[in-house]
Amino acid sequence: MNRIPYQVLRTLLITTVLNVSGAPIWAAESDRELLVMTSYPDAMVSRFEAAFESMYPQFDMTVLWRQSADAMSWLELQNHGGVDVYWAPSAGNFERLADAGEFAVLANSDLPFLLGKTTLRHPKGLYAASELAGYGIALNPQRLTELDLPAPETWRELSLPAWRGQLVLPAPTVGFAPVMIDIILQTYGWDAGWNLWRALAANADFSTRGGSFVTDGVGSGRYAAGVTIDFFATTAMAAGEAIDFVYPAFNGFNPAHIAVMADTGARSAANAFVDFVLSDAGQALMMHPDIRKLPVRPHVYDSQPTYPNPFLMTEQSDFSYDNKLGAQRLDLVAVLFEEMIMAHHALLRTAADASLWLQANPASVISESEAMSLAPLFERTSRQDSLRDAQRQQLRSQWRSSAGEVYRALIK
Amino acid sequence: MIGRRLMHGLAILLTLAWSHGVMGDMPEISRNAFSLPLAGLSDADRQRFADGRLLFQRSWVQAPSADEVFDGLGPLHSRLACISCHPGNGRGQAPELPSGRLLSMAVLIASAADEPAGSHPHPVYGVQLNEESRPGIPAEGSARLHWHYHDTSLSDGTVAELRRPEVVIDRLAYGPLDNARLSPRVGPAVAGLGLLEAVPDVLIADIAEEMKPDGVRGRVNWVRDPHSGELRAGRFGYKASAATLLHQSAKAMHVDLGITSALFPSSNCTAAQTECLLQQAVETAERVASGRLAYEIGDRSLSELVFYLQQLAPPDVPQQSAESEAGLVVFTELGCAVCHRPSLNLPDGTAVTAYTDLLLHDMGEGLADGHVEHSASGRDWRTAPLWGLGLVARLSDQEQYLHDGRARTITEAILWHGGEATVAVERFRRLSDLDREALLNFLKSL
Repeated sequence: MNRIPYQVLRTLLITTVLNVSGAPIWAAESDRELLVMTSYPDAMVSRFEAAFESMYPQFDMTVLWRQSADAMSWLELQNHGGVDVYWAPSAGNFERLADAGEFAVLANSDLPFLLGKTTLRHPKGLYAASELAGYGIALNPQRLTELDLPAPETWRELSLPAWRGQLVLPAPTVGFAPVMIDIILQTYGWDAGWNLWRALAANADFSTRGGSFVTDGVGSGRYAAGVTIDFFATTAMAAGEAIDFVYPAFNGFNPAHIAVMADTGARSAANAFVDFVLSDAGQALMMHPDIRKLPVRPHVYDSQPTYPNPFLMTEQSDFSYDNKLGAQRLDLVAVLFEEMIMAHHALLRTAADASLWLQANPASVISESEAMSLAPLFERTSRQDSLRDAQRQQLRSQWRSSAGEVYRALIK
Repeated sequence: MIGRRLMHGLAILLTLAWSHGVMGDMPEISRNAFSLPLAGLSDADRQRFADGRLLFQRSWVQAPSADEVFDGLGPLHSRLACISCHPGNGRGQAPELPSGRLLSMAVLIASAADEPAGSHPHPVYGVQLNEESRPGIPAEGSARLHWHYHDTSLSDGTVAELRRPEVVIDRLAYGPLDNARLSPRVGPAVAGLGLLEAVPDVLIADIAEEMKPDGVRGRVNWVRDPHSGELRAGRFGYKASAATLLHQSAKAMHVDLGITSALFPSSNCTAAQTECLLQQAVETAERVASGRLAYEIGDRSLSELVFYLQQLAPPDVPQQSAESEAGLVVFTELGCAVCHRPSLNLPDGTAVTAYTDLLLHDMGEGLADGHVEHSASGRDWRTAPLWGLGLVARLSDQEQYLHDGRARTITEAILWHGGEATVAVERFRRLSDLDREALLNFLKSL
């Protein structure tokens, strides 16, 4: 028997979910069925699912789980694969889908527009922030004591010699890492930011698995500190783990978003879900000990005055993160990190002192303006494009090689 | 007594009130009480534990996906992740309201038409109701619980309200669910299972052979292990129908998530579910064509998942205080300890303080579900481990006990015991306030 070509099989797999008569078979039998695509963990989603259905018993919610990197291939299907609501921390995906006209205007768009320089809702109401995440440093107090290290107050302190081998960082393949990388770049400037990352990498190991592995490493005492997104650390603390978490100075908060697909067949249900997530009840649910996100409604913090409040922190800080800028370049930033830093991690660590990278201050392999012009080439897409693949590969190879030459010259 | 409608309303209010912080903060300690590893793991084993944890906690996705470790969900499934039914590695919850969905429990199905009744899958709907599905494939139906209440009195006149669930299923997509026995079951806690796995078969068999008072018998559920082919003493699942965590995990992946494995290589679709079968066939062909295994969770991933479960430490049972020791005396005098044995000793001397004998017991008509699993009849249940009992009220959103969450207090759970436990429960009913309080305090200390 002849083997069925792989590409034919793949097409068959995707198209078997399409109604051969042409009608979208996933079209809701009625407006009561709601399909929400998300990448949030079950501990969060199940609570929202239960609370939403309790408040709106006329609707049945189904969750379609997809990592952000994997979401577009589904959303690019006919009728967005049946998805009614997209709810995820993926600024790049939301920007692309909004620009493509794939979202409906939200009925409820009364959030504050800005948190510092961080945009909380689309200017035309096509999506809204549903929660915020901050970035910081998980600490093992016992290890700090043993090493006689003070709790760091800035990112830069982690580049000091005393932190050598005591730090764990997320690799750019970890979901929250690209924003983390970009926060440093925006805080310190393009070249200075990359040099700080080189210095931190020289002191650190990388965690390439899921986000909780950084806090695992810190909680076990293997590392004294780890750069991570706040909710991983704060849920671990709420669960009784003996770690601390600090938001260093010059920080940023990155929103996750929610939107209704323009062609939803369940508009009432979809709007109700968005309303619920953005309601006081939904926002308060974000503070559940197993969730630990930061609400986007300022007054919700009144009920828990000790809960980290990004609105207060932004008021008190000189810096805030421009998430619109970040969304344009996160994929490229992740690639540059892989080629300039991950690929040469061993080389970076051979420097006797991580501060070499700060003192030498080598220029990045591309300037920030060059990066912005190349960013569209590196946007994740499900479309096969061998020409773009070749272009990307050539640039990656070039950057890796250039960075290596610079490092070797400096170490000599 | 509070009226039932008001209770329903309060359930909503309490859920929302909790989220508003109106109730105030419960002490946020030990939220990971069911999630800690056994002591003494090497660095390599800690990494393996973390890898297995990821498999347990991550949501699975439908194929095709760039996420090749976690694709293969469905086409028919109950939930998205193992942790969906074992939140925080603890117990799942039954919905309190008739409109509530079974988000962390499942409805098992058995045919009432075969002999013996309740021993075979339903010819159309299989062994479990799959309420969720891949878009384009009809889900099997939607289940709700209707609670039926009745009162029972203790000897001192105290009235306890008991309730039992009735499963109501609508939106059946594959025809009527005729001649079916339905058994709603919450996901059980998964901490300490490695220690239970380590209990030798011969020990369980010896316990079964012991003479016991008060009409208590207890039987081993001997089951054929699909991996080794050996006849083993079952101990996992509410009716002890699996002897190893490998079997239990692979079965759960298959039945709950529609994930195939070497032990369960065929889909969970029945012959009547042609769209499901077609979808699965296409997915399998795609996997094979792309050089992957035909089944959806590889042996390595499955072994990491099993390792994680094996290494989960049981909840920390604090040393007994004088007060709880008094309750232990009551516990023993009532006869509870005959089945809820305080300790099982492993060959290396490790004491597994799970408060279970791992045997099947006839628990009477009140708890019967009519499901036959190997030698477990429709009235038989494996003695539930009581370790971690005291954490249920602290860590779960709602305090619920027993296999279907019917009991809202430990007292209710006790009062539902029947069959071989009848004599012990009668003694419980006759307890003084003081002794009853001591017993309950002891149980809450576990």
